[in-house]
Amino acid sequence: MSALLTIEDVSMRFGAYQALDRIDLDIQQGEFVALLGPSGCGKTTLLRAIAGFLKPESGRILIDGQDISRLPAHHRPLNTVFQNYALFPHMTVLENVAYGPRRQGASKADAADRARAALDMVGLADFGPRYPRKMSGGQQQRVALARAIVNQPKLLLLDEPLSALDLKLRKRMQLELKHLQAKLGIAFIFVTHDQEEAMTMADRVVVMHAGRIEQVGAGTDIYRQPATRFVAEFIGDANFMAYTLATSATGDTLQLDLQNLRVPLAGNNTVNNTVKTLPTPTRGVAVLRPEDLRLADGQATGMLTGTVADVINVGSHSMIHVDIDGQTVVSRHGGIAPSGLRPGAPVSLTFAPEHLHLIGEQP
Amino acid sequence: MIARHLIRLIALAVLAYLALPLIVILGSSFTATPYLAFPPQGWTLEWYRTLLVEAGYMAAFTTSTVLALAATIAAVLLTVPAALALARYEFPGKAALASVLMSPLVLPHIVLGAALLQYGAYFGLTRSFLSLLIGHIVIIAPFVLRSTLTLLTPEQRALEEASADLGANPWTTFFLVVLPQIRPGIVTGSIFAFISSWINVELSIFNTTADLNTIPVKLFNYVQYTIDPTIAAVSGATIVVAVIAIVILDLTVGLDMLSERGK
Amino acid sequence: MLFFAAFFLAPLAVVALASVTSGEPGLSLTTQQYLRVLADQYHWDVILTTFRLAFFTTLVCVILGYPLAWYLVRVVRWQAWRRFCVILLVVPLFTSNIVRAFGWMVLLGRNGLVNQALVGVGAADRPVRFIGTELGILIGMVYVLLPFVVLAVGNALARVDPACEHASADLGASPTATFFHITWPLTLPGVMSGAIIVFTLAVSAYVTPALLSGGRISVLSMLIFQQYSSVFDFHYGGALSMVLLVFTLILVALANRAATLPGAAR
Repeated sequence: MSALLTIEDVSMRFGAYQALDRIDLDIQQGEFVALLGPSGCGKTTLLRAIAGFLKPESGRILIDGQDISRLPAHHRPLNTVFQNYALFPHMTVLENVAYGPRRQGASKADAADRARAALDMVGLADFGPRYPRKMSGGQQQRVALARAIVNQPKLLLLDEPLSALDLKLRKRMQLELKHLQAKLGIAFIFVTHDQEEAMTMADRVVVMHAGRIEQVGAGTDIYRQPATRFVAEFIGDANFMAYTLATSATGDTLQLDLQNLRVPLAGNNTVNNTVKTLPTPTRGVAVLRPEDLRLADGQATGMLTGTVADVINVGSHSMIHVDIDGQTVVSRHGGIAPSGLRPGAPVSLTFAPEHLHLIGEQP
Repeated sequence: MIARHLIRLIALAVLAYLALPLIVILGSSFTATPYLAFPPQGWTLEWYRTLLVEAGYMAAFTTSTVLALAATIAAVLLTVPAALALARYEFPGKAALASVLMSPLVLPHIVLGAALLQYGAYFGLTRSFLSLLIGHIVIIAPFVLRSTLTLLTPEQRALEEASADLGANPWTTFFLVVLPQIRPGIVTGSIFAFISSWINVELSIFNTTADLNTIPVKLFNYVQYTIDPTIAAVSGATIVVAVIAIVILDLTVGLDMLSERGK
Repeated sequence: MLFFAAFFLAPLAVVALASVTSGEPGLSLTTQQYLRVLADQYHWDVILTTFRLAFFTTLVCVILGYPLAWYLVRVVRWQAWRRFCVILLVVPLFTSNIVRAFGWMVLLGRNGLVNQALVGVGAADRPVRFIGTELGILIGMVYVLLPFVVLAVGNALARVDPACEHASADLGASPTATFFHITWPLTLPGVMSGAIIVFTLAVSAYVTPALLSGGRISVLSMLIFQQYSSVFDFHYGGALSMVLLVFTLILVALANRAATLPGAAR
């Protein structure tokens, strides 16, 4: 099945600043894709290039196989939901939503009908005659959404549309958007800097950093097998442990710098789960998620020993910061931390070797 | 694309239209002929010399400048407290008051001049420097008020509160915190105020005499009888004054006010 | 601080109020003066001329001013050039009305540059008379009031949210459609407020029409001044002044309303 949207080797600079560096990406029909990354990583630039508001210096953008790189924004078969909604203040909600169909030739009555249907779909059926400035942020956001979907585009671009909403509303909208997307079957490209948001909503996550794509994949895959140190740190929390590979006749082992702990190399410590698989490098960094680093029952079964530096109780879980020979690692413990754990107390930690994920970078 | 070129064409034509009279005036002020000629025939500074030599012109120049200075200073002293009060306090009729204070900007100066003349007659306050001064203060004060008010934002207010919180009394706060912040507004407003006073005609014609004259009124009277290069020279001098004022404005506040990036 | 402010506020307010109420003498002397105004055909003509000139001045100012503002805000890329243009725009504002009118007296005279050009190019057989015509006055007034429109429109344009225009394009509107449906309506309040200010100033203009009328045309403010300077009928002058004043106040109120229309880019 050929991709709906293909981005081929797209690059862009602003003066001396490389905003996009040779981006290659495919988006399939009906997918929900998140562009995730810190501010300045290029995700919004990429979105605007796809929409047609920016022109890349090199590379092509194709929709359904057709090159749209030269096409001006108003001819592209896609629609955008803007970060601050960009609702037309001098038009009613209905006029706002009917705007697209009207500009494309629909009659006033026809456009109004379609607009009402779109408003109904976002739960704002009676809001037609109102003016945007008299509505709450959440309502305005839905109007922006309705306005974008009424034209039945093949692709919908969303530029951090939830960032202005408060937490509870945001979480609710995340699920609503996910359901809406499934119902409409339109491909969504959603820009965000919030990794939880990306993981909640998207089928696939594209992690970007400094104008490049670091990794693409399902949220859970990226979480379990981050390709680079940046991705490991950006998505969730991470403990980084430098290791050296020791080969022997009985099998390969990893020797961690931390207390020279030796751990057998398990079968699924893949280095890079994207296209290419590399041989395990002899020296590198391993990632261990805090929830995989557990408190040991007693000294005997512990693998690493250290002193408690901090205990943070959030209620549903606790984060225990442990100092091991100068390096701090974090262990996540379900529920409230055991009362014996105070700063300065000795503690033992353990983990299963297959939870160590190797990254082919220098420590 | 065509639209863009059309716009460029119209814009440049309009800019030329704006520049034309000024160029003509400046150019014809140098002509050696006793009548106005543009392009100028011959070059001479004779007409400018007339300006300096004839007592009437220098006196008018002095009057204009002193009047403008006095009016501006008075306007600043009166409107800054007014601006502070308007920005800070809520009271009934506040919006109406603000409108009234700003109204001289668009009210007909002829009417204001006539009214002041009639009103002043009751007090014996006509055709004197003071009557001129009062009139000028009234019409230029709004400039200072407007540009000062725009700088009295809630953020600015927050700084005042911080100052009080740190132990400064109201006077200290005013001089050390508020004043530096509204200074650009006062400066801008003052420049507009000064110039407005300097170039004013419609208000001044009611209260000037042969002895007490301003440059614009003197020009106005002259122009109705003859047109000669002297007028061009006087006008040229005022254009120079205008340019100086603009340059000062640009240097202190910056004139990039139509930039999209600005605000 | 409050007392401080009130103390300074008072004199200013008193003077302002005084200047408004002292037009009253004409009023107190019965409404006879106003009837004079209304009854006299000549005065109707003058008033009509005044408004006609003001209307066309405003129209031309907007037609010329909007493109110039657009040029300065949207088209110009070099900051230096834009700054120079703004200076060029503001310098006339800082020169006296007299000087500006004088410039046009020279340009539009029988041997002025304009006639020289017209005859030279062959567009006219003999010098065209501009001084003493409404066209001449119009040219002069537009010159004086154009910067106001440009600044008002420029401000309005700069405040239009570019995201709205992007959204319009995104939804399929061509650049022309975007202008008509989005940009123009959003700048309209600014244009209206600028236009009303220009109209107000044009109606009360004195110097420019006085100098460019060549003694052949009269506008309301000229008539008013006449009452005080030569006819010495202060009461009648007062009545005329009140007419002008009231009309101006109505316009100002309208301008304030225009600035608060829905969707005004503030």
